[in-house]
Amino acid sequence: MKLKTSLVLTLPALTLIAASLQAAEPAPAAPATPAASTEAAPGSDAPAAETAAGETPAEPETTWLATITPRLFLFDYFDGVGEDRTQFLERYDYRESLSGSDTRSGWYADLDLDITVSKEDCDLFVLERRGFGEHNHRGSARYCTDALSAYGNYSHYRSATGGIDYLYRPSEPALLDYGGVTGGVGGGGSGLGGGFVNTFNDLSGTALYSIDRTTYGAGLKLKPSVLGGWATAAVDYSGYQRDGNKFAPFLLDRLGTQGDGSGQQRWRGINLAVDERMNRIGLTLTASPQKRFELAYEVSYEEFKNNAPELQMQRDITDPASPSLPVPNNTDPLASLFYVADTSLVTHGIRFSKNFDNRVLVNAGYGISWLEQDSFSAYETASGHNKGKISTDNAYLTVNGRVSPDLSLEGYIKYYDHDNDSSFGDALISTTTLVAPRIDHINSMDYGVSANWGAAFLKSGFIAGWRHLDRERDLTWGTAGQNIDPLQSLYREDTVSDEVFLKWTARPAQGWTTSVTPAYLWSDKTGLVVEPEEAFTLKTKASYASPDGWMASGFYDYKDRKNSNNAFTNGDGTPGSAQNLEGTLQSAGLSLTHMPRDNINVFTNLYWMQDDASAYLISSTVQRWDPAVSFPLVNDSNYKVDSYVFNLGGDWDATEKVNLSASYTYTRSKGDTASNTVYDQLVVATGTVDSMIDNTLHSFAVGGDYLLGERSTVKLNYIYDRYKDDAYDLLSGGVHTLALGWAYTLQ
Amino acid sequence: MRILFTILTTCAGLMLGLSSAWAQNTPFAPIGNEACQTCHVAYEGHKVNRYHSDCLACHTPQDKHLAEGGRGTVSLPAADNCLSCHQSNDHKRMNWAFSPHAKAKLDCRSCHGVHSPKIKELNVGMWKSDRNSQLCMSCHKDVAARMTMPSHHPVKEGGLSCVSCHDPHGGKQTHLAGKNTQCTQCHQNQRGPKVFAHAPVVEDCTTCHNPHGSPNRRLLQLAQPMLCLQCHSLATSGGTHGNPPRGSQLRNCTNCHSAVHGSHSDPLLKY
Repeated sequence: MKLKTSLVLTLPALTLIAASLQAAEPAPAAPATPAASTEAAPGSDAPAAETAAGETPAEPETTWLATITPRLFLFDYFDGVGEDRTQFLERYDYRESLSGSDTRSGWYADLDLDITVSKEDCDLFVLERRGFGEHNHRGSARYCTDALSAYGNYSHYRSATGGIDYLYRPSEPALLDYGGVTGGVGGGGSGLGGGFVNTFNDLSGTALYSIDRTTYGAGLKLKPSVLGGWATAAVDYSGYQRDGNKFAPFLLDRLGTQGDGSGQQRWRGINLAVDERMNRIGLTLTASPQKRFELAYEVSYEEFKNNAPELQMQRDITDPASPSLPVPNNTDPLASLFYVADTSLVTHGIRFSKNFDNRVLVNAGYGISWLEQDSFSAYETASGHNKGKISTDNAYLTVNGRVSPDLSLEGYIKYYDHDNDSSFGDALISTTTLVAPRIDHINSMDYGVSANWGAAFLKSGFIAGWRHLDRERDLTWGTAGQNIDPLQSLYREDTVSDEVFLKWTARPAQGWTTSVTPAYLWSDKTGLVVEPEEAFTLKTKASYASPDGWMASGFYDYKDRKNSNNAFTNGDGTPGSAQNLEGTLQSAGLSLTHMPRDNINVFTNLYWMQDDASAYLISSTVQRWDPAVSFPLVNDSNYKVDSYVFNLGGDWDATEKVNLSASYTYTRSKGDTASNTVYDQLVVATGTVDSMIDNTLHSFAVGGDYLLGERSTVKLNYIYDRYKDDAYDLLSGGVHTLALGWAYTLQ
Repeated sequence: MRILFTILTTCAGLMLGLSSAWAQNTPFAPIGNEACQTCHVAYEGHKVNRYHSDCLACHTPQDKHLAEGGRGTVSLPAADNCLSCHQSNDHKRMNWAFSPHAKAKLDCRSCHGVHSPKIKELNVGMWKSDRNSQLCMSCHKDVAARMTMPSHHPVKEGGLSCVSCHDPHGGKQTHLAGKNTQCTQCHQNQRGPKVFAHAPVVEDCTTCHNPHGSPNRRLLQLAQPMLCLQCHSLATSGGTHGNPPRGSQLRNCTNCHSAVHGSHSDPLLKY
């Protein structure tokens, strides 16, 4: 199967190469080099660019170069979970052996390919393929002449992150010691919580989840030489295919409440199929008449299709693997599970740019898009929701003018409008429990001015500016008995903020660059509680490049934000608790690169990040739609996690034939994700798994190339990855990888 | 709105009027490539595009350079020099002047190697990634560090590239789409329209996710349940969450509300 896959991918590539070699016709004559480059300056006795009159230039030769690198990979996952689960390191690096489809150890092969066809110092055709096995490979090809350019590309990548998420399902065996919820039909009241969240029923029948994404694209561009010298036209196509499965837990809530024992069946997890396609085609036209201005127009049409079957409660919910499980006796048989609708998107954009003698630059653009829902769930259809449409308008105008060689001023304004024109009618609003608002309309205006001044002091550049954001929302709230009032939510309709900033960049000495960028933001209104009412940001950076090959750089970033703008109102109209968010994000880094000799390059990086955030846990005495609701403040919860990354590596051309490179990366994240009541309630049931982060990743890689002769090189890479999780030991594990390649060059 | 446009238009007019005869002056002292290559032998064998094969099209040497050589005595091409050819008829570079890279005083040559590729060989530690990404990370080291965190977009694994999401020649100021478009050009299944939407999802994906990397699962800015509890209160009686909510319910709000990006069926976003 894998061999077939490799052949399927390789053969078209080789066919393309052969076709391009045959089709490589002489390129049209190059346009004249810029006039300035061929003019002799007055008084200069240097020879002008040579093309002696009367000489017939020799027809340039077409040359080609191909390098084929078959590779053999050996791998071994160790110390982690078995094949029946996803190992942590497997989440972005899924592998399968050619012998017996073993995903824990084995071997596989792949092929790298590099083809270049050139003529007169111009690459006519370039093809590149990189392969790391059946589940991770990509390729691209481009063809370019003075008249046109064309390209094509594809990539295939398997992600198994869903297999990690699965470990956090409620019925995860590792949690049972802490009172986790078991599978199957449970007795009422013995588990955690009560009622229909008493028992979690895992109907998935598997713990292995992965999703393949295959992307592809192609395009053709006609250059100015075929369109009058002042216009271009380009057609671009792109698409992807996304297949696989994911774990999908859900709660049936009011459905399945009949007295047949199905009450305990309402909290479930299933193995959900993913099968999606996207295709997009676009046309871009540009024009620059006599280079007086630039104009571009873009139009695209995109179609997204979901081919996975629609799951409805009664028809498909039972797991064939567990046919004895009772089927909920639904009150609404039309309810669809995890429905993904087909959609189509049309976009238009027009852009304009005009440079007035290098003194004033004006850029403007306007774009519009229409997103339409092309298919509807049975529930939507039954509810009379038969139109899903969102349109957006975008516009910008930016102006930059040089008042003097040292001073320039800039102003911009950006407009965004999002309009949800779907048929979300009164029936749904008045009969459905709506606990959150629906956004019908967002209108946003963002504008600002800045001045850029170059000063002699330490060769400094200063940018000082102000910007303003004004965003308005139209929100729909429910009108039925069990709907919340806007005051029982933290969502608001307006965001109004201002920000002032300064950026100072200096070059105090040859090789030295420093920059300091403080900014302060304040908001009169915040629509979301996570938007800052007040924020202070500081970014600092310094770098030094010495003449003898040292390069050092460092940075420190600080951001502090807080918001206590948004508060609940109790059902009786008295003030409830206000949320009080505070967060400080700090990061710092140090990098050092050194080239002690022309053939040696070493580097090291150290990075630290700390995210320290706190928010109140606010309870509601009853559900928020109840008129008697009040919002007492419980206490605050703190999230504080430190992350460190240390990286050391280098490259060494040991001899003319031997190149070696190595890299070691250490990544550490440690901290608490909750405190006070939230922490207590997490720990009592699931141990420390959910209340802390404590993991370490070591990644060591070493590689070497040995030149066997003029045409062939042997490549050997060894990679060792080890992940250790002290919060959730089940995730710990490691992997060895050995890759042996042989590159052969044809010319 | 009208007032703002008036202010901007007036500013533009003033700038045009105030800036008198100031213009760029680029002295030119041509010599032939052969003269350059008597010293710069390293470049002789390098293949460059034929439009770049005239040294003086991009470099202006001072007399001192011709006499003594050395750094700092020959001009290197600024972005304006490159854009004199490359901006015309290229909609992706039309807005370069307003991009963050331009404002950070980067030139084209900061990323593009005219004589030879900037990234010739990938370091073995990033052997699966593409060259563009390695180049980006040579400056954006904070992002490179985030890409090694337990949850990240698989850039160094080769699943995608920095330029899959970012346009290095443009910026937010000249972006003709909403904030979420950057994400939903790949994650179409989350973009709606959905009959029951989760409002923050409609507004901005980065409210909950850090796209570069996070110590929390699913690229979350904070771990659950704290991420959710910033905006949501918990009913202590009369509701699903029990009194007090705990354990398997609290560890992952999305264990029940798994249609957190919006639902076509359930107003409580449970499926």
